[in-house]
Amino acid sequence: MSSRVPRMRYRPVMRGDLAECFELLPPWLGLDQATARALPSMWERLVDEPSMVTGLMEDLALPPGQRIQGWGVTMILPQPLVQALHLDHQPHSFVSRRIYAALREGSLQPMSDRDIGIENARGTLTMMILHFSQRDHDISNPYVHTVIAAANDTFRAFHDGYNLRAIYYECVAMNDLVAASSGFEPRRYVDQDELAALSPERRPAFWGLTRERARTLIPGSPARNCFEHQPPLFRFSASQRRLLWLALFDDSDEILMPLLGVSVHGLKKLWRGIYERVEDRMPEFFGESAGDEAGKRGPEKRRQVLAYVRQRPEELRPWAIGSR
Amino acid sequence: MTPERIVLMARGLSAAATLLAALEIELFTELGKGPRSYRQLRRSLGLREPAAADFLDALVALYLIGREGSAADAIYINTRESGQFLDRNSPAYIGEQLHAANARFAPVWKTLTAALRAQPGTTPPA
Repeated sequence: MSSRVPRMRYRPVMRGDLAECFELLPPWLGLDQATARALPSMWERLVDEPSMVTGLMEDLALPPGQRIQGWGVTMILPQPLVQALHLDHQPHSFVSRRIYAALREGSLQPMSDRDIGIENARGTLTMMILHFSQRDHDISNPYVHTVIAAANDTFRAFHDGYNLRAIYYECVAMNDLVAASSGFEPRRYVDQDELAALSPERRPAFWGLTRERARTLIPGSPARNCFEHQPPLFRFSASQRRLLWLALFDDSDEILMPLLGVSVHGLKKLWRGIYERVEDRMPEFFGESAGDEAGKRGPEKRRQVLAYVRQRPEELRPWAIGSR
Repeated sequence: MTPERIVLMARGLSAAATLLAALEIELFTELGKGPRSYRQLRRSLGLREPAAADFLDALVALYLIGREGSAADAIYINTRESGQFLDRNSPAYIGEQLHAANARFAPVWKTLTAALRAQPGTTPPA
């Protein structure tokens, strides 16, 4: 592995990745048998849910089937659940396990794009990192540093741009060093003392950061920085935002059409809607056509919009003024 | 011990000159209207090849602008910081102060060594 040059990149999780991702499911989660059995079918649905923020890190230098080196899952939680779990205070341990169980039982419904948008516009959004895992955790291995660096980039790409109130993180206790250096602060479970009997590989730890605490910290860490926020300018529709988000990773029509479930005409219509929305808000956005060759203007506009939203991720997040 | 800090200091002049040139040609104000392709920037700002490409790449390396894509397909965009402070249309624009400071001190830097050296035929003070 040391003689090979890694080609690490990150991207959203697709259905075809799930089996390989499940290999990375961390043992500390301790899912009950019923939830573990149901997980594949649950994730077939969850992968498209706007409240499930899930990305992977893959090494393209490795053969298919062995490429995924890290997988992270964050869920945007409804306020009643945040309160019921006592996340803002001292929750009982194994929060992620209980969230998965509630999803399986149907007592927890993932938030809709509109509900997320309302919470986001109000600044009351709460996220919880259910789990993050890597194939290898040995930080004396330089390859693991590459994975962690990609994980930090992934975290920024997937979490920046939300108007967050709080972000919580449950992980294995032996991941403390990474959690702390990412800017999370240690928190206690109400049953913290009872966890001491568990082995380090199976002992969960609870971390978090709130907007109030983030304001007191020096900017720089991924967790602290995801509290920087500006409201979106364009307020794209849910389907426009999904197209833009996916196009950041691969903007070819052949990839986008099946992911969005649209025809080539449907895709063109979506892009056209995005350009119209942009020109409506910023008439000079695209500038004068400098395309001396026919057919260059469309791809150029696409790259202009993608360059903009890559730097301003708030444009990719749900935002809705109103009430449920 | 490394010479990094000293090397960075010596390179500071290049960074400052690049920033001031970009301000002078109103690059950040043009990018404040929206992301621009290389061809659009050349046309709207009247930039010459091949200097334009190297100049824009230097600004990308200085994190003053961002770039999507490469070569002729490249799209350039203000960073949030540049958009806030270097776009003339931003209420937080500081370009005037930077120009004023440069106009005042640039001649001083150019003559600093000569001003420090004793004139030939004179004796430095004891």
